[in-house]
Amino acid sequence: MVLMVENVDKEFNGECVLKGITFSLEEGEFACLTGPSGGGKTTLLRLIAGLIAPTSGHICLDGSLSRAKPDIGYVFQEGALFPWLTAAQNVAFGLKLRGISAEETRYLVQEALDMVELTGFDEYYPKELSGGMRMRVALARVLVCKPKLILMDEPFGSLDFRTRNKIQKDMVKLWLRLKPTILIVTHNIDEAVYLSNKIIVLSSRPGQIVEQVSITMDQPRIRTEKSFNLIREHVLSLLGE
Amino acid sequence: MSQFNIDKGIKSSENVKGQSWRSINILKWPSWERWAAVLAGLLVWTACARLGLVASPYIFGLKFMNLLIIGDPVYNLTLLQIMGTSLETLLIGAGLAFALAVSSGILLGYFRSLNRFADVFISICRPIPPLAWIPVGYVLFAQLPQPTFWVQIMVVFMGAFFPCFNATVHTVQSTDPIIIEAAQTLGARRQRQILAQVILPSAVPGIISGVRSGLGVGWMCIIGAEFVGARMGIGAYIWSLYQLGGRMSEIMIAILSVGLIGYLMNEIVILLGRRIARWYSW
Ligand SMILES: Nc1ncnc2c1ncn2[C@@H]1O[C@H](COP(=O)(O)OP(=O)(O)O)[C@@H](O)[C@H]1O
Ligand SMILES: [Mg+2]
Repeated sequence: MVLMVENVDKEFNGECVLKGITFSLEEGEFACLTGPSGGGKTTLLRLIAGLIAPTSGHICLDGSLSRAKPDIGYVFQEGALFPWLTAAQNVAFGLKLRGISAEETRYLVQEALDMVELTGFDEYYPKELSGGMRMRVALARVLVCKPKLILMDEPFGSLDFRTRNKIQKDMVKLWLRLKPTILIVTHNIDEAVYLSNKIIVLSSRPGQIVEQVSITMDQPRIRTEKSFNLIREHVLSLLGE
Repeated sequence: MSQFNIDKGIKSSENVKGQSWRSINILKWPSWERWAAVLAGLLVWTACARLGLVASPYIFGLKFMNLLIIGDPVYNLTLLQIMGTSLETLLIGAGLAFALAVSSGILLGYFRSLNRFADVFISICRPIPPLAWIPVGYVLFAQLPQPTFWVQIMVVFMGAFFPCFNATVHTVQSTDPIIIEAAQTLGARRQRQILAQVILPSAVPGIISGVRSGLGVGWMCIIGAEFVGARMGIGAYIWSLYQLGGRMSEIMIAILSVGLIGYLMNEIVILLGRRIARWYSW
């Protein structure tokens, strides 16, 4: 068990945003968190990453309860790259903090950039990259630290349709290759069914887990298949649409 | 495969890189609007000269070249030497001001309670016109060998300090919190790491524009401060031209030179800023 969330409540100024959240992620699981906007999805990710503390309940990573969680990689909405660092320097940021030698850093950064198909973009600053490329750098920046768990908050929400499809496809390829544990927030049901083994559906305020839908279809998936669309319909009905 | 090409399209056309390179190119050919403005200005000026209101551009240009190369016979100084004196005062005063403004601005931007503590003093000192410090300076520096020099330094200091200080405090306080969280999740747990690796680098463009406005205000102040002082800077020159009576063309040349130098300094700081913070969308 990589992640265990037990009975977590979160209140902001006395207002309950998340209530009784309980779920767990196995190693190598690719999970999606979905639900209405304002339902507390970002809040849940921030709780797991240790950026904020729960009002009650426990969050364990690899069986440990500590607040500081260096083994979690967090990919923010829009990427949140450091604009003053080049793509390569952005990717190297976490490695530098871990005291890894310059030579090894260079090798690992190159490997990570290759992995997200950004070979040759080392020297580009974030302002010189497209939205999709920025997300790829953000992903490489956490992949390179080999985290136990990768959290992603609506990573592809701002991308256009084609870039989005392409990056989803690459995401699946990457997951098949490295088998990292991923929890990704999306409000796009199609994306959730395409990517994940498990969809955690959250209700609106206070956010509670409505259902955890397991998906056993083989990867990579075909969007037009009947079983694909049956799952889509089921998740949509859970969200009351 | 085609989608893949679209995502990478930027690289093949190289337009993004090209643009940022061009924007830091020093020798930019002025736009046609600028040429038109210069031409129109000359036309109006010539018309006014014909009416006998001012000296013609030709006479004016001649006098300007004369001041530049041979110098003013009354003072035995060229325009550049006079300018140099003022620039020297400016650079010393503003340099000191920037060193203090940036360091204290970072501290006060970072430690909110320190900012709240100092706020009352800063709020009272900021609206004081820098020239108001001249008498205070003369009293303070009366014992020093060159009181006028120090008074002028002090005035420039007062003028250059606040724009730079304000910009620094503001830019440090407005660091994107998401970027700070990104650093934290990547392992920057200590405040010192956040300050050195996130807040300071992201503050660089803000500090540069603070330096830019500080230099501008400092330049305005030195001209005023020299009206009362004795060192032969450009302000003192303008004032004594007036007192000696009449030499309107020289006064105008001096004033326009002050504007020209101010403009050039501004451009230089912008260029340096683009060099230093190439990553920023200037
Ligand atoms: N730091 C905070 N302080 C107060 N309220 C917050 C804070 N963060 C989130 N909220 C509230 O919690 C609710 C859930 O927000 P969020 O987790 O961003 O939802 P989602 O990501 O699902 O759209 C929102 O109503 C929001 O106003
Ligand atoms: Mg959100």
